[in-house]
Amino acid sequence: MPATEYQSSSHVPLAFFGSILSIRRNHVVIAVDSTQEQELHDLDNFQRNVADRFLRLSLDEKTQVLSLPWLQSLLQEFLLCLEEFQSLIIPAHSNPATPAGRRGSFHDRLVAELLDRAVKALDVCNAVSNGVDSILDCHRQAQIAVSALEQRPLGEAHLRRAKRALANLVAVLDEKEEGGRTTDRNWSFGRKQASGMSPAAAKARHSRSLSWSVSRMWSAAKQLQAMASNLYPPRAAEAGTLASPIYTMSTVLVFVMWVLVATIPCQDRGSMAVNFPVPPRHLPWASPLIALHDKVAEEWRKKEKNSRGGTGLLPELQKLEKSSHGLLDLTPQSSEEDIKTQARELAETCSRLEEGLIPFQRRIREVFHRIIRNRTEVLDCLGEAVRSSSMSGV
Amino acid sequence: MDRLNFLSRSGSSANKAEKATKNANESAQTEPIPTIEEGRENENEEGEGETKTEPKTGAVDVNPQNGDDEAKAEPPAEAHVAVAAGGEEAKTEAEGETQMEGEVKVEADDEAEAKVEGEANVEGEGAEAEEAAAETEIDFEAIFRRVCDEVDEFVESLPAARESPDPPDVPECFEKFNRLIEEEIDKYEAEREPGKWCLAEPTTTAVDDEDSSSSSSSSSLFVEAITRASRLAEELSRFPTGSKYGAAIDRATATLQRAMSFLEEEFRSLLEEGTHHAADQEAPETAPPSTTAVAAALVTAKTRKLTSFVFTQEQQQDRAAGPVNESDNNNNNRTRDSDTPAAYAAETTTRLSMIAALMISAGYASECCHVYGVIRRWVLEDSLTKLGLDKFSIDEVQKMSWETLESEIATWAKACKRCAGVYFPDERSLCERVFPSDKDIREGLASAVARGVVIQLLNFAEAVVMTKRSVEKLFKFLDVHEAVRDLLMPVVEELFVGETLSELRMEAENIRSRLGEAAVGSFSDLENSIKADTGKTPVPGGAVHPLTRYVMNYLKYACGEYKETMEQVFQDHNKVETTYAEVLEDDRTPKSSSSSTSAAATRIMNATPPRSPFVVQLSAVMDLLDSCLEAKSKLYKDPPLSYIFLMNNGRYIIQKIKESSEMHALLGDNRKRSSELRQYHKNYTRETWSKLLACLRHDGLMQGKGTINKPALKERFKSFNALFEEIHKTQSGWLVSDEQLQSELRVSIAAVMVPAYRAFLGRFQQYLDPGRQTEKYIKFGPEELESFIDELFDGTPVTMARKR
Repeated sequence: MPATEYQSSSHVPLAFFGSILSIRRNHVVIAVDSTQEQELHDLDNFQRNVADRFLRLSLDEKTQVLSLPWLQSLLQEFLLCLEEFQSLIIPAHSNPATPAGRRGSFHDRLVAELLDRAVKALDVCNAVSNGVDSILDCHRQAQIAVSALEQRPLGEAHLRRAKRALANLVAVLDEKEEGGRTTDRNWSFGRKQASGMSPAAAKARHSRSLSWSVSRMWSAAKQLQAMASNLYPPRAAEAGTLASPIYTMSTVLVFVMWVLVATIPCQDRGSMAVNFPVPPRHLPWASPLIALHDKVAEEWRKKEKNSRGGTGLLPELQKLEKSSHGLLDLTPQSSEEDIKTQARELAETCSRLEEGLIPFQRRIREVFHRIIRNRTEVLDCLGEAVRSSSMSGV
Repeated sequence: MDRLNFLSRSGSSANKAEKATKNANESAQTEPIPTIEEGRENENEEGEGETKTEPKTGAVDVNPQNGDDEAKAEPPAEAHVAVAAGGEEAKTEAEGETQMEGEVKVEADDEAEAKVEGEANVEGEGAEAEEAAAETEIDFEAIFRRVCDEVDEFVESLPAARESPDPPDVPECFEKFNRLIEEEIDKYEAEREPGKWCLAEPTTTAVDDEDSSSSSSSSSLFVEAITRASRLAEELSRFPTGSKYGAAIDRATATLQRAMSFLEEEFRSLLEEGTHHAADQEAPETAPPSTTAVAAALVTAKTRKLTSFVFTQEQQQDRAAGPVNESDNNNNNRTRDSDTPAAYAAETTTRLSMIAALMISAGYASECCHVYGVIRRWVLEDSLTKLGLDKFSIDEVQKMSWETLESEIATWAKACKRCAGVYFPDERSLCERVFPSDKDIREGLASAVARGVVIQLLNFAEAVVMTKRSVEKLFKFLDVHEAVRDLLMPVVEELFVGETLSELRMEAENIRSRLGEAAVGSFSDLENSIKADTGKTPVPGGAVHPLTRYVMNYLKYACGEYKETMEQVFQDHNKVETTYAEVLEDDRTPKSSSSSTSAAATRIMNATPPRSPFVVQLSAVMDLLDSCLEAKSKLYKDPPLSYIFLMNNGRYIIQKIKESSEMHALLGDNRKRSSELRQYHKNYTRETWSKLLACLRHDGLMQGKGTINKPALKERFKSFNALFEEIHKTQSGWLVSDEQLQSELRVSIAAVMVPAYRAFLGRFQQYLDPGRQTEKYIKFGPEELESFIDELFDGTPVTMARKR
């Protein structure tokens, strides 16, 4: 059955569809019509493509899971999913002859829920983007340390300069780990005048590195929780309807946001207690997605066991933290070789962050804009569909 | 105590001292760095101030010119003290020499006087403890300077030494110098006043702060020392690894690092200090003139517009007023600053820029910039919070009630205005003052400080545009659109460069166009709400329909307040639609345009290019309103009433267009509408009055020659009376609220009816018997008829019986 044949028959006089309409109404799903078959075919394709994408991600051995390059591919695949989803759902909705065109309140609700998730995802994007800002801050500190450690001959002063920067860095990371709601970490070192600070000053210092673009009460954990609620796989009767791609897209969306929150420091992400709603295994994309999920969850568990405050699972950031602590633990008596090794590691991590962070932040912003665009277009087309259906109803 | 130790140690070497003093003179004359020159001046003034315990009248003129002279004359005075503290013969001689040199250079009489008096004072009150302390201070200074000079000499020798196989040994002064710096840092760290050491503005210290003047006597010396330390570290580090200076390099860089850590903290504290100051001055009563002006502008803005918001004109006025205010306040910058985030006293700014210069020249620019960026960003964000700008997630905005959102939009707009008008320019000028010679640093900092805030402001706009569209949101969308276009976009262009600029420019442009689309969508919703108005109950009395009022006032507001923006958003929308249409031309997918009429608008556009898309849209709305009214006129069972209804609404529309010059300009004159109105008028007259006129026809009443058909005549009068009474009863209940229209109608009716009636009476009255018969059939005289006509269209039905 060549696909082209079906595409060419997508324009059939409306009257003809009346009969199918009545058949559908009785929930007798018989693929009598080629248009409908085409649609089923498209739905299937979508599921399979999503499966392929996640399979690719989970099988990629070369890129470290959750690293910046890996996140880049994740987001890229996500954008492709979104695009495909859109091209699937919009024509379907604007064509009253297709099952999707004959939307019921059930469909409307599913779409509305998806759009609501999209809005929440936007906030996650912003929070993540903020998180990247704070990593950039850390990176700047690390850069100071790296260039101090590059001085030859490497004197005590350079080591101290590096340590000072790294201590700042670690303080910021610890602060982030406490969910942005800071205790009075020593933001500045050296001056022991904290006691002499006015309450206002103390408070100012207190909230200094709070991310600004989300409201203070905003919580990544709660947001994810809200996104995951009502996310149920379609029932058997809904097979072959738009309920299934909507479910797929929603799950992908929630998963991607879940990964981002796990990876990048975010305001109040709690202890990842958010239960990611595991999709039923029979769906083609379920296994690779679950495999990825398990990997991430495992990383998270390992991280949480580790007493030395976590900062998100981003491997580059963890490395940064590790080398920072390593360098901070060095004493003047440490061997030069030791220092050099640590410094090299730090420099390496730094350059990887330098390469990856800004493009990643841009990608996040792109995701942000694409989600908005997708939402707008779905809304536009639904509005249109509502209008045309109400007109034909009269 | 330490200082005294130093004193004795330094005093032990006569040769060194001699050299040092020489160097002191040399460097005093050759020192090229202006800050150090300044430092010297200050320090010398301070020293002078201390030796003297009584204020002198006009003896010491604190002015740079004299200061310079003093700098040269000063060493001898110190030298005396040094001698008193246990100096040696050789030294005294050496200083005697310098003194001579110094004396030669001193030209001003008062200078010499000052010195004499200073010495006298020392002699006279030498026993006092205070004096002793002052002496120590001066001793310390002398030592410090001497050590510095020795170090200078060493540093000078280093470039040449790099070529030589046997560079000079590290002199003794080197360690002393490092320790002195460390001790000074210890001392300042114990103090609670950041930046005290770096510079004392002559006016402030001399006039109102005696305490600080005494302790900062060596402050600028310290600055000088740090400059020297960084030069020292730099010069030493140029020697290859394994040179004899290995230990010295370590020592010098360590001192420098220590100093830089200290400076970083000082920098941070100074930056923070200003913010507390700003926080204290938050109260609006203390707002400086410029703020009140802005506030006033906001108030007028509010009254001018229905919606509480900011608009271009005010903004422009404000902007124009900005520089004027600034120049007005040039002399007391501090008052003006106190309300802004850059609320640093001028001297704090000077200190900040001094530290920045020190840190940058020592290679610690990254640390300096980081602290600056973090704190200023925080201050900026904090000021916005104080303006009442809350942080909302996009999700929260979607769930807000429209009333709440409206007020949040107003706050947001205020914040944009404040950012564009005050905060960002201030931030920029602060940055320019603190980092005057580092353009790259400034550009980097602009994005570190302000990028987040700009993104945040844009995100709110994004959240607003994502809310459900509705007709009444149009004006808020336009407000936000205008704020992005007129406030944020120029700010982005001004503040940022490079990638940040292109990123933010794209973001702002993107949100602006989406706001435009939302405005277009809301405006299209107006059409939908016209279409949706399918009420079947006619308005009583044929009066102006509420829909007409709503639509016309809406349009008048849109054209009056937002004409240009509306023109722009429709222009943009049209471009998008046209390209979209081209793309989809061959596509079978139905076009997902936001409004069907805009597609029609596109077609019309193509036919008559001179009409702007907004005008096209506007005309489409008017046409829709017309046809809607047409349909509604059909709801009246009484045809004349439906004409009255059409006339009423038509007149209302014409009036509204006349009232608004913008609408008039956009929709052209009302010629077509007026002629339609005349047609309605004619139709009305025909429908109502032709029947009545028929009663007054002369024909059919005469039989043969000269005889009258009396029963027919009676019948005519009877039916005329009945008909007229009926019309009067009904139509006095109809309402024509437009006075002109009302009187036009009455006049035109009277003009037809009264002469006809008069003629009819004149011709046929004679055939009726006077008395009872006349009374019975002729109920009104022509004048009465006219006055009854004048009672029509008042909206209050009156019966003639009662009137009579």
